[in-house]
Amino acid sequence: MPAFLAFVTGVLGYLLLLAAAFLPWFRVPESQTADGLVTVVGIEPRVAVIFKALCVVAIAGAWLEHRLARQRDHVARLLAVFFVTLLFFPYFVMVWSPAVAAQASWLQTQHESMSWLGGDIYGEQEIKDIEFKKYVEVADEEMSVASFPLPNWMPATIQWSRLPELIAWLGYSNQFCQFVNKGWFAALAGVLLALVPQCRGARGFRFPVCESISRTGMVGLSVGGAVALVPLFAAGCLVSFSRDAVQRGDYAASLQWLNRAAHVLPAIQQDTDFLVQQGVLEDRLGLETPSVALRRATLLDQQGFTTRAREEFNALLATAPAGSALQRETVSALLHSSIRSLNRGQAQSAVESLDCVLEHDPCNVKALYTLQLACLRTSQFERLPSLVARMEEGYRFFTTRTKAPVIAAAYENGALAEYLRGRTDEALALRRISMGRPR
Amino acid sequence: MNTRRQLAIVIVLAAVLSALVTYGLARWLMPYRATVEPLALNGQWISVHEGADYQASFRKVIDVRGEVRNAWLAVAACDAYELTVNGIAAGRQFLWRPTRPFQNGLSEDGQKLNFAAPILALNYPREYQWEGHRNYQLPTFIDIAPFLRPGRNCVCVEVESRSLPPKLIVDGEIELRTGERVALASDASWKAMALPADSSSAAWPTPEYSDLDWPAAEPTSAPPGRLLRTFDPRMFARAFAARWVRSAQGATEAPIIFEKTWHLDTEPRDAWIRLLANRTYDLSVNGHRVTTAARTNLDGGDWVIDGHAAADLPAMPELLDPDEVDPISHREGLASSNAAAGRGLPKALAADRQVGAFNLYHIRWLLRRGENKFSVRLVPTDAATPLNWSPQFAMDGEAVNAGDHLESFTGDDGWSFRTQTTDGSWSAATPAFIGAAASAPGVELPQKNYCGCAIDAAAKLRSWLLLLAGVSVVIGGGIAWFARRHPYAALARVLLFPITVLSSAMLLEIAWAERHEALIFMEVRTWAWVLAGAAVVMIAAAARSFSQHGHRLPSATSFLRALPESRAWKFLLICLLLGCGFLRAYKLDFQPLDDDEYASTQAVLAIAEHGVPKYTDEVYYTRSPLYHYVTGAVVKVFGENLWSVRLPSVAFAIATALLTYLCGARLLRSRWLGLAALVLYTLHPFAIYSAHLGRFYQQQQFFALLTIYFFVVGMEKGQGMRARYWMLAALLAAVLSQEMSVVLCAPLTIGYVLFAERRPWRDEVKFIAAALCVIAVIVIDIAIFQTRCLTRTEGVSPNVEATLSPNFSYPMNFFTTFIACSRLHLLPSILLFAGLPFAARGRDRNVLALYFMLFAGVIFTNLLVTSTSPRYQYWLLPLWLLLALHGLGACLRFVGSLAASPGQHRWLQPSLAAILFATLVLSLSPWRIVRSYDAKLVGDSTSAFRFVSTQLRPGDAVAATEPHPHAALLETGRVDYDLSVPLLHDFVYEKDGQLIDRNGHAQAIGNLSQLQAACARHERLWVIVNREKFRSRGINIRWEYPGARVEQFLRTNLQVKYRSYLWTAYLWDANRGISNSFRDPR
Repeated sequence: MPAFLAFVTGVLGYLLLLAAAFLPWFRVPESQTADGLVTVVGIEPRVAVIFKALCVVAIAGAWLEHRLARQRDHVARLLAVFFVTLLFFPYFVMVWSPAVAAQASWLQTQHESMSWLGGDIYGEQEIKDIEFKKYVEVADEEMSVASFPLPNWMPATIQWSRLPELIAWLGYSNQFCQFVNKGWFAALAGVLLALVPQCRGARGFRFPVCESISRTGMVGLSVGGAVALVPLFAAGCLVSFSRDAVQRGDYAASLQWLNRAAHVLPAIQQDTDFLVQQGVLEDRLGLETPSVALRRATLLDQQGFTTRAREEFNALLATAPAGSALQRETVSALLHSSIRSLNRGQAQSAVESLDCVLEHDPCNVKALYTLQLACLRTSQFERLPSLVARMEEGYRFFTTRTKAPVIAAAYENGALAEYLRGRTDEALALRRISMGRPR
Repeated sequence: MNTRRQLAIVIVLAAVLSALVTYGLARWLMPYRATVEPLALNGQWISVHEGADYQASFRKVIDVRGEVRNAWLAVAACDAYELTVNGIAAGRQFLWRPTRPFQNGLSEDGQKLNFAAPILALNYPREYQWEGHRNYQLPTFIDIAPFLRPGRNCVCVEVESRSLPPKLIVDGEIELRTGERVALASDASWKAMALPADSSSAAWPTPEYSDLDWPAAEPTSAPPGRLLRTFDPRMFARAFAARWVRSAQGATEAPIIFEKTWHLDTEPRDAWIRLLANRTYDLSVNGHRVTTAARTNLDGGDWVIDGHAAADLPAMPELLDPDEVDPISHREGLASSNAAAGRGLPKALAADRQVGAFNLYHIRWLLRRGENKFSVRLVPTDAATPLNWSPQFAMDGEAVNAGDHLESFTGDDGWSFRTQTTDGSWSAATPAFIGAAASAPGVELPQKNYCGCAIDAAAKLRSWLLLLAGVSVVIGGGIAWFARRHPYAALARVLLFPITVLSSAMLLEIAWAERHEALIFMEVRTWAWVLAGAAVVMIAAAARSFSQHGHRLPSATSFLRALPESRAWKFLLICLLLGCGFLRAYKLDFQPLDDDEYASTQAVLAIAEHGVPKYTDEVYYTRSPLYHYVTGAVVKVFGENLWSVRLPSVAFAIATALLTYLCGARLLRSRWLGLAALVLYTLHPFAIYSAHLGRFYQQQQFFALLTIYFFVVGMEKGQGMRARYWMLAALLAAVLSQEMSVVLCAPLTIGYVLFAERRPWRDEVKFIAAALCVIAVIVIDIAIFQTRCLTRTEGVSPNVEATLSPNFSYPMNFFTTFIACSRLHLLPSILLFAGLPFAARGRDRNVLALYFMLFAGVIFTNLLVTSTSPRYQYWLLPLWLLLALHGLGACLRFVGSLAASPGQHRWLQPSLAAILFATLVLSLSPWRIVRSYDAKLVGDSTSAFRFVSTQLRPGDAVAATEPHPHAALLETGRVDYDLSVPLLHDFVYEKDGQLIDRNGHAQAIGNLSQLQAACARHERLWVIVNREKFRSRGINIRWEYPGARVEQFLRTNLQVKYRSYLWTAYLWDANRGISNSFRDPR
């Protein structure tokens, strides 16, 4: 019986591997506009396609090895190598697919600003029932984007407490967990199940195969891990040179080192801190660049020159390349500005700037939530259904269970809007959904 | 073994020894970090007169007759405190769970011993049977000058403790501009009260409050351990006398560098500087940036990455005094105490963040004998519009040499400055303008902020590498000399001992890094002792190894080998099992019940009374039926008391200890290993704590281990069918003890496919039929839980409760078992992973099966249980212990094989094993268990509810914070309201149009209006509050968190009648005639 089950497990493993070639591995929501209609679709990093192809190659390789060599040891080693490769999928996504990783981090940040203990969802509980959420304030949290912590290690600063950073460098961060999809799990489970019949002989466990797998796995993990960290350490070194140059007041050199670091590790260009630092250095050098303009606009906004700041934000958004870090950070700054407007009671101003935010970042879940509240306060009730629908569409790609209360809050907003429009049946239906009842 | 291989081994061992000796010497002679030194404070340890409370309030009223020049306090308390001056929070050390890092909750970030974040920072850690960290050993220095004003002032300290009595020691002084000095040291002039008579918590720390009825504080004994310091207290005690330094050009928006040299005649033993600046700056000494890992203000220069304030970020959440919020709403009629103290708007609310910074640095490792160049680079402001004030700073410092001779650094002259032009070039150096004294009459300086010890990481690396080279030469030379007289194998044996001692010390230092034991390795002499110990051990090993009779079996070794077969072994086992039971049963009823325990206790009592776990007509707590029915039976027999509820867990813990031994002895084939696992299990603080909880975790652990035991026996060793059936029975028992044990099914199924031998078809079919029966029972159990226990929710909860559901989140959770809170498991886990290659090579099925179950258990628990916390992986603990010890054994066999031929030098492995095992035991900090029996490890809800039950009058109503209505019901006999802010829908259900708490049948209160309505309905309403739920631990309220309004209402309108550890009993008394609505002006 166990031998038969092992065979079945093996077959199941290969089937899962095959399925992995067709399932999504990592998807973040992105909008597409056609005929003025915004639709939300999931985009995958290019590296996922390579990994999917590798699944097919692994199946073919295992079959060929099995046919030609008739040695389980070879097949097992091949599968072990593939398993180790699969473990580096998060690394290739978060470190070497900068745009997708940054979008994942950006969405994760937005979600956290709503779902953490001091965020919108916990915060509104006490006060949401008063006057149709009139007194609910939107949490204005820090929303900086970092696909992984910027490397700043020196040999003398290596400590055990930095283990979480190391894990994040290998791609295993919360934002990866948020958007990882079935394909990766199917591939991992498939390889492991495919290994089971390799490890089992007629009389039970086969030690030589197990030994071979462990050796291959350990060597692969160690070598792969070390190689994977090289560019991160190199970039970290260059960033520290940049820091030293700043201290000397040598802004040009600092900027140069920073750019070299970005050349070695392009993903760091997506980091909020990186862009802000670039802006500071270019500003000190007297350059007129988009980073400098963004920095100037945010300073204006912070110091209360909202109108001037908004003009600068709009100008930047008109020229910033779509999907670039500059566009995202400008959107972020404008979102903060909008939230501050809404919390100050300037709801109409908030609606206008949030519309601008959503025009450039239609899947921005924080902006969608804020705009729902702003529309409630400015009696633009008819806009709520589409905003709620779009928010739910965006959240379809999140895997966390903490998305449920956020979506529930959106439906609650929708229900309030319908009620205020006098459509009580629709309001009741939405209210039931917001309470977690079946639709 | 051939000579060349032996030589290679000796070379490798010599290299390892060189590295370890270098590390020890470097930590001793050039640690490149702050070290601790003894500290003598002038004050006495004081406490409350006849104090039986876990909190105490201390007050000292001072008449300040003039303007304050300098004022400081050094505060240490058992276990935590909040210091307020004139009602304003000045500093704090809040009490957090001991599983959090040492000094967690300290407001003065720079004074922390370890800036690094903990490796594991779980939201819901399980407690350990540990006394708390000895935070008091490092008193906190706090600058209180900004809070004082001429006239009547009041310094107050509220102390919170886990054990009786709460203690405080304070030293300090106020220096007036007139030269008069006022001592603040704690003595009988301080007044102390357990619970201030006027219970309005905002009133007693103010100077206006009358404390005439307060008794004087009582001197008390000092707690164990010396007081220590990591920096020179003169940094705070000395008045700041430096003068402003600015450019001769006045206001400018260009970067400016100021430079000066300081000549030191000798190498300093200690040195510090204080820098006051009104702009962001970059400070460097001898070309090295002065920076620390602490959160500091304005010392980042132009660098934003990893900084604490990126350009577009809103102000971070900040603790705000309730009346600090008033300026936002433009209300009049309320004088803000902070505004009165001249602080103005808090930073979080202010648009202009240029408030200046007063930073203090320990710079001993940046200075050298001779000329030392200081440079301060002031950078342009981040203002959108230029400011018209000049960039300026003031700086002073002091260095102490080996002969305690002081050399002062004054910023009064000698500064030159250079300005940077737009093309990046610097102007020629020009003498700077030296202005007036920074600390002048009428000028209020920012609060001093000690930032920590600044080092030059590159210099550290350079020095240590140089030292390594020197040590390598010496050790290499010594070995070469010995190698001519003794065989390589003997040399290798000798080298192994100091390597083991030094690496054990180093591993202990790593393991203790997040506990107060880290102080031991912060003392410079510790490493000198460790090195001396290693040398002694090496000499002893050399004497034996080089001796002609070294290879003979010594009598002690043969005794140890024969011991497991003797009667004494059984006696030893029984003693250890009794010890295991004693550690878990001692003062069993002292610890209050935690919220989960109350849930189980309620079900257990219902079973004992009615035979079913009935909460209300609608709710039956059908979860974990085996646990609740077993405990219910015990309660039925022995009566309703805490011993009956908790003793079954203790019994299961003893059974688990025995089973752990059996696993070691039978599955891993070493009785010594089993015994070692038994000892570690007995002393494990997590295991001790969990074993006296009236909850199912211990029973689950026992049955889970039993399942694994029979799995290995049934699939591997005997391949017997009977063991397989026992495995299924144990699995069923584990699942019925705790449903989450169902995660075991996945590894067991894969394990069966991998490891089981082929059996006759009839056997296989029978086995599968039995397995299907087990699955059917589990499905029925879960179906009953879903239908009879869970109630329909009336909304989506903002939180996520732990439940069985596939998920992949928080990758660090996968390391919980291997690291654990406070790094408890780090050291054994290193051995566990080190043993893995040997397990693969050793071809031992049992070991491989156990490794498989451990890793699969970790993976499946994390993938199948949401919000995984350590308690859900508790069942893996014995398995982890066994494999860690197996790893230790495997490593020892390996190193032993390098240095001795089989059968020879049998003393080698036991000796090394003893050192490493002692290290493992020390890594658990077992001494902290002793005092933990007198400390409250979790919030003491029980005392609070029992107090209320003695005060209840007819017509009184009771409210309790979620999830404690059941506790209120059990302890007071009634509960009317469930205070749940924010409302968590998982704990309530709808009945008759109202939301009702599942356990206590109390009406839910989810916001302030509902609380006010409840107050309006009753003449007297008791509100019993878990202070942890409100997140505001001190005088200031955390407005960014839920519940802030409710907390403010409680503080303002209700009387505090009782306080226990983390719990407060408030009383709303309508006849008192006080009612302040939140939004109305007072």
